[in-house]
Amino acid sequence: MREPQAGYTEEFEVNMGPQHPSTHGVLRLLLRMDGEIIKNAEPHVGYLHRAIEKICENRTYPQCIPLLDRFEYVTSMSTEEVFCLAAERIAAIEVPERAEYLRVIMLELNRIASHLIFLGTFSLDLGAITPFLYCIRERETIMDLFEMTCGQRLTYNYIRVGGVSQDIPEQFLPLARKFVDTFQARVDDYEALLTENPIFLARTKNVGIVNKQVCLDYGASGPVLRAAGVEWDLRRDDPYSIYDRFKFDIPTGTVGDVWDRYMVRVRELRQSNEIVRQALDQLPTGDIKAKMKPLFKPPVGEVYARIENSRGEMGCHIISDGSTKPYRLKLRGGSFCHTQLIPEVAPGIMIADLVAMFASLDVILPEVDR
Amino acid sequence: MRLELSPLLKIIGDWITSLGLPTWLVDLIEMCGAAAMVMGMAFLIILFLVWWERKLSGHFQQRLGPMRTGWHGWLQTIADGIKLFQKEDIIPKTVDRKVFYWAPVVCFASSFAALACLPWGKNLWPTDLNIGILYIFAITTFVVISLLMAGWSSNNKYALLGGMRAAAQIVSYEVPLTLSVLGVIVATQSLSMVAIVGAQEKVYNWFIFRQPLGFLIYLIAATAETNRAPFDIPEAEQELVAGFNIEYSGMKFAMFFMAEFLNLFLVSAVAVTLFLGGWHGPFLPSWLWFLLKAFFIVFVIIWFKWTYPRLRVDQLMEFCWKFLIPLAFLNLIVAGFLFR
Amino acid sequence: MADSGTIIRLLVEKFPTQVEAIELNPKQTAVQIDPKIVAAFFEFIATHPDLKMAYLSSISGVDMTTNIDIVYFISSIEYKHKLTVRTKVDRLGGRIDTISTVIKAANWFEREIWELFGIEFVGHPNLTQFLLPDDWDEEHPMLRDWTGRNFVKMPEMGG
Repeated sequence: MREPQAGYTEEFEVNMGPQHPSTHGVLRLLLRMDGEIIKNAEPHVGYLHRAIEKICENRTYPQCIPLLDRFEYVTSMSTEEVFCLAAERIAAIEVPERAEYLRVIMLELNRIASHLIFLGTFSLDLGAITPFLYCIRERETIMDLFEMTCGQRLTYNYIRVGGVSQDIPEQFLPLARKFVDTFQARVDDYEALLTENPIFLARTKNVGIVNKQVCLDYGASGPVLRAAGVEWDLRRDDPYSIYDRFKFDIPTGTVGDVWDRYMVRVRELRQSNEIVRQALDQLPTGDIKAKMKPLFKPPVGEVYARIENSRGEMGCHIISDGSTKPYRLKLRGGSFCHTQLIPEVAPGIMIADLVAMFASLDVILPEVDR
Repeated sequence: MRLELSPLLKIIGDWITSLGLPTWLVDLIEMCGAAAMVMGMAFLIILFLVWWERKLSGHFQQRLGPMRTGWHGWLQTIADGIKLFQKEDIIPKTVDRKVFYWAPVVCFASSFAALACLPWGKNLWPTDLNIGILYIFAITTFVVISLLMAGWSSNNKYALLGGMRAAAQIVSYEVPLTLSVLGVIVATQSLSMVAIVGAQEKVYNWFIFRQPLGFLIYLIAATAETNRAPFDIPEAEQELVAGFNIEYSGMKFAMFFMAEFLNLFLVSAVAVTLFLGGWHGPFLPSWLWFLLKAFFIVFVIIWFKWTYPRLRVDQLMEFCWKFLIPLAFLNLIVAGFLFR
Repeated sequence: MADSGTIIRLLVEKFPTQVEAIELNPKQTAVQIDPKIVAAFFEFIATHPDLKMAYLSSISGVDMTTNIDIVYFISSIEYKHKLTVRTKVDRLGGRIDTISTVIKAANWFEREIWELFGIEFVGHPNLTQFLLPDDWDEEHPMLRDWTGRNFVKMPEMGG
């Protein structure tokens, strides 16, 4: 038994996770703490490793798509899009106009749904439970739109190599227009509840700052990078699909604190709404899938395709050896680099701030583990 | 000791006296009867409050809350109680057994004991201590001890963190809590709850109009005392996964749960007594007025919880020591001049 | 902004024998480099004023049965140009210098390749268990000839 000494304190290790309400997914953070201050945070990942890349080496290209849905399930459309983009670039397939517009509509609606989940879980982690329910209410309309198109609410299997799998039904356009018209007012509602609230500001301003240099060093992308002040959006800077036909702003922050990351995503909600509106206005008639052979066999090639996901840069590296199956499929999600930021930013902050910072990074663990 | 009884209870009291039993036995029966009535009232209130919080939170969040257990789910609390009652009482091997057992008991007992001093209506108070309000604040401080007992004995880092935070928070907020009611005490020149209510017979005499700042400070400090959002750091689910009561299950957990709601009612009832005129009011019976006013304050506190995010521990302390306490002192000085 | 030809020219000028341009389908700026200069190479392209490529997108390992290819994808935020860098390492017991001292983002990418392919990154600060379970005692699973733990090959489809 140790003799009690005057003024003796000791650091102790706490495991946050793997089962924990506020690590978004199954993440284990080994924290070494001195009272309430964190001295060191070490992320342990791998709880969700399902070997998707290995399995896909053994599946034909269309068979890979449902597996990729599960890679990043909150924005499944993005995962399918990046994979199909890569395959189409290798095989030099041109996607018809209508299919491109449908893809953009689905991608942006998915981005809105993903940011709504971020808003909800972020405020939940800060203790404000009510905005979560409001965001879910909005997301239900988007889920309805997806369900009437492809039959699924979360993992869509909709975007295929060469186009999309099905055309939208006739109830889609009126419901989508109604959603787009009412959504701006709803975003104002969420902002009224949180943005000017002094408690919210005290919890988020100047907390968890990830400045520009750290972001660039660690390959951060998406809202995390934009919140630090770097105006980098792959839809504009490495263009893909038909994004050059739409007018949209790219919101950026200044400091890179939690509040900036929150504001960037809230503003992106409005911008995505605008893109959906423009796409619905410009939607042409036509084919929804390019004319291809029944069994997709791309030529030999190698490409890395990247798109702007709601979490950052989502990349897909495909090596094709001329057969029906990809020789190597490597996926890269934005959260992979963002989780690396934690040991850099965590030392010196309190647990409550770590929770707020981690929630604002909007990390989805399956992206990290695959 | 003599109990003040309303007419109906007086008849029962007279009948017991007429049985010709020794005085000490009559007194004992009266005391036990009063305690039983207060206990019954406490459980009924807990029953109601648990259901009401769930309904309110549901409606704030655009959903319905409990709907299946009885009409609009009013039997939900009973269902919860039955569930908790028949759950396995898991006691980890490494806990400090005695302290672990006694922590929920101390918590519940201290909240419950404070109910003895409240004026529930006209001539309807179990006892009229002449140090009423001081007694209530003193006995509710036992809650801090019970939270520390729970946190320490659980032998769990999360529980320890939660217990420490709770102790720091509650002890800090005791200061503005007590200071804010000093204005009322200066005005009525008495610590007795009955006397304070007596001084508020007319509506324009209610202390909420004469001491608005005191009322606001009291409301904020009371929310912090009961560990409710935005001050619910000790049980911040997202950070510490239930904090100090992480190792409790079954009936012990139920006792903490009930004690929290009882505490909530208690601070609201004290607010009503001190600032909102107690049981005074036209037409309706006095106890009904008391309950209505108390539940209105409970409603406001529940409303806080489901609207605001949570403060961080050091921000909470800063708010208390650097903002509320100076304001409370200011209030006291002004009250001292006003009510000379 | 440097176009593809300029980038290749600058790189070949700096490392004449160790860097060569390669053709890939689809067309992209791609080079094959000698694994021995990997750290110097990335240092060069990060600091050269016309290149400034320090934004790492991904590092993949590919098992080509005779050796393992490591493919780096890097781009520039200022100039918006990108580069594909390929290099070859030995299959079993292969070693290559780490670039995590130059580009911090490479840290976890290299850790994953070490764990799944068995390439050792010399100088890496933290080559420890990452994605696989703690009690994994078999070979590196992403190698093409790995057969273990109920690995079932799907039947070939028509055509």
